[in-house]
Amino acid sequence: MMSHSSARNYLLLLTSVALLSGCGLSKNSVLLKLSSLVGGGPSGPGEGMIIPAPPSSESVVSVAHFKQTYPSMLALTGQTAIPACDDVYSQVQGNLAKVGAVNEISATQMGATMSLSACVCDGLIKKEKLLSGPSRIFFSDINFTAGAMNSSTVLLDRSFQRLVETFTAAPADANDRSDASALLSTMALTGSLTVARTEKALLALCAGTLASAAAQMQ
Amino acid sequence: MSLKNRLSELKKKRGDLGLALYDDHPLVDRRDFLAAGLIRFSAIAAAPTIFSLLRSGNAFGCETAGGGQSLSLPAIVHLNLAGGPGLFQLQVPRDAGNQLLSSYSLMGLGTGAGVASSLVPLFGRASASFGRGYIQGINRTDIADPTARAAVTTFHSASAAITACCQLRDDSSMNRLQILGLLSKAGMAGTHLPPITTRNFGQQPALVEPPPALDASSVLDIERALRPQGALASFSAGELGSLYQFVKGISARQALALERRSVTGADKLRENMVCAGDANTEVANRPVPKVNPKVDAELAAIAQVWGVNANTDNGNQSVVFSSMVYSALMGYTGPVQLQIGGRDYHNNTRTTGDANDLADGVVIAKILQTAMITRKKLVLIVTADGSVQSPTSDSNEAVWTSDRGQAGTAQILVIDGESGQRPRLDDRTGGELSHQIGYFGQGQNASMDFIAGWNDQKMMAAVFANILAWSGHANLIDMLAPGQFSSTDLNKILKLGAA
Repeated sequence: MMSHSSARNYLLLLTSVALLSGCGLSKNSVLLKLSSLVGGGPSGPGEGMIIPAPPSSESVVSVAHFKQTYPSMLALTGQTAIPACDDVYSQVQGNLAKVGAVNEISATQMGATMSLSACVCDGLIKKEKLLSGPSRIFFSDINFTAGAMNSSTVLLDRSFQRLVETFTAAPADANDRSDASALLSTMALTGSLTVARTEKALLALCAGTLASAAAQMQ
Repeated sequence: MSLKNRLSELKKKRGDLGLALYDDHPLVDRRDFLAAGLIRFSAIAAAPTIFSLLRSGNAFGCETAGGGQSLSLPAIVHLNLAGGPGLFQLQVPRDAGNQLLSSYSLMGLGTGAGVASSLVPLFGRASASFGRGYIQGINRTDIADPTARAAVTTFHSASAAITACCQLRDDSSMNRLQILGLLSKAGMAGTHLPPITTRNFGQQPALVEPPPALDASSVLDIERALRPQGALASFSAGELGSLYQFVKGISARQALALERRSVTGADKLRENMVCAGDANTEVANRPVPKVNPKVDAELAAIAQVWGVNANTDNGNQSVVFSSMVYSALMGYTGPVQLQIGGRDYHNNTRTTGDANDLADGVVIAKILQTAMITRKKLVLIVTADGSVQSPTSDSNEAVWTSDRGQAGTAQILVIDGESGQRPRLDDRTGGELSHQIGYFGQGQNASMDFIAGWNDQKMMAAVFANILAWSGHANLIDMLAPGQFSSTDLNKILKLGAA
C-alpha cells in the first residue's frame, strides 16, 4: 500500500510527466519508465487512471473554467499563443464554464470548448507539418505530402494513442481506440482520401481528445 | 530557489528522463500548471459548490443541454429594469380589499380619488395611471401614424396583466427575483441553446440556482453558439455528430474512472458529459435556426417591429433583445433575461422618469408584438430593484426625489399570440384582486403579511406557480416549489387559469 506522502510524490511526478510529455514525449513510453521508477503504473486496461486518488473524502470534481481552458490547451499541445485561436477564444469564452462547476457542463459549453480545441489542434498540425517526421511529437508517422488514409488506420491510431497519453497521462484503452476508429470511419467516408482529409481526420482526433482533456480538470 | 536555478534543474531532470521538448516551448513545472489549472486527475479538495448544494437531486445537465423541454410551457422573457423605476405606475397597486388607497402621495400619483378619476385601460382593465410613461410606450404613442401604430399594437386584445406587490431592496443586485432556476427545474429548455441572458443581469436566484446561461451582448454571441467556430466550421453534420459522440465516450470513461475512486461529483460529471454529447449530436443534425433579425429574411417582420436593419450595430439593444425574444418564442432557447440599466432616475424631475418609462413601455410593446407575430404564448416578467418616491404631494405631477423599495412591484404580462384571445384571469377568492398578487397598505407600502413568509423570492415562486397554472400544470407547483404555498395560499396567489 502506498503511503500518503509517496502517493503525493507519485501524483506530482506523473502529472509533471503527463504535462512535460505534452511538450515533447519521445516515441518510447516515458510513462512506463516512470512507472517502473515509482513502482506503480496503469491499473490495467480500461481503467485509464494512473494517479492514485488522494486520501480525502472531500475530493470534488471541478472542470476548467473560461480562464483555464485555452491556456491548458496551449500547454498540453506545447504551443504558445496562436493569433487565430485568440480570436476564436474571444468569440466563445462567454460559453465556457464560468466558475468550473460540474453543472456548468452543457452542450453549448462543450461546443465552445471544441471550437477552441479544434483551433489549437489546427495550429498543432500546421506546426508539425513543417517538421520532419522524426522531429514531430504527435504525428511522426503521418505522411503530410502523399495524402490521406494512405498513412493507414494503424498509423492514425498510433497518433491517437500518443494524443491520449500526452493529454490525459493515461494510455488509450480499447474503448477509446474503438471510438477513434469509428470517428475515422466517418471522417473518411466523405470526400476523396486527400491530404486535406488526412489532416481533417487528425484534426478531429486531436480536437476531440483535447476538448475532453482540457474541459475536465478534476 | 531562483528562477534560473529552477530552470536549470528542470532541464537536467528533463535530460535524465529522456524527454524532448520543442525548442520554442517554455519550461513549465507543477507550480505553473497548478496556476493554469492544468493538473489533471488530482481531485481538487474543495467545499461543495453552491451548484451542488442547491441542485442536489436534480439532474440539470440534460435539461440544460439544449435538447428541448419536456413540459409544455409558454415562452418566458424576464425584463429587469435596473435602478428601481416607478414600475407601480403600470398598474396602480390596491389594498387588501381591492380598493385604491386613499392616498398615493409618496408615489407621485397624488390622491386616491385623483387616481380613480384618471385610470386608463391596460389590456381590458382600467388599472393604469393616467397614461403616462409606460402606458404611452405600450400604446406606441411614439409612432405618429395611427395606421402604423395599429399595426404594431395588435397584441392588446390578446394580453392580460397581473401585478405582484413586495418590498424590494433599492439599487441592489441582491433581490431574489431570478426565476430561471425554477423554470429549468420544470424542464424548460431550448432545442438549440441554453437560456440566454444579457450580460450582468442584476438579480439573484429565487429558490433554485439557475443553470448556466449564454451571455449575449451581441447578436453574434447567439449566432456563434448555434454553430461551431473556426476549424470545425467546415465539418459536416455527420462529421460533427461523430466527433461529439467520440468526445462523449472518452469523457464519460474518464469520469467513470473518477467515480470508481469515489470522487464527489464524478457521477454528475459523467452524466453531464453524456447529455452534452448527445444533445450536441442531436443539434448537429438539425437545421441551424435563423435568429438574426438584421440579415435573416425569415425575421423580416420582427426586424420591422424592432426597427432594425442590416446596418444596425450587432450590439444594439433592439438587435440583441429581438433575437433573444424570438429565440425564446420559437423554442430555440429556454427562458431569456433582458436588462435595461440606468433606471435610477430620481433627479428631482418627472421628465427624466417619464422618458425612461416610455422607452421601457415601447420595449414591452415590442416583446408582446413579437409574440403576436410568431403566434406564440408568452409570459413577460418585468422587475426592478426597488422603486422610487416623490415628496409628499397630492399632485400626480410630483417629481421623483429618491428610492423607495417599500413600493416594490413586479409586473407579469401574459399574452396568447396563438389563439389571439386574452388569457383568462381566474381569481379564486371570488372575483376580487384578479389582477394582483399581494397588496399595499395605507402607508403606501407593499404588505409583507400577505401570506406567511412573503418576500421577494416567494413572490417569484408565485409568478412561477401562475406560469404552471396557465400551462395546465398547477398540480406540479408543490413538487417544483416544495413547501412554498399551502392550499389557502394557492387560492390567494393563483390568478391565471389553464389556457
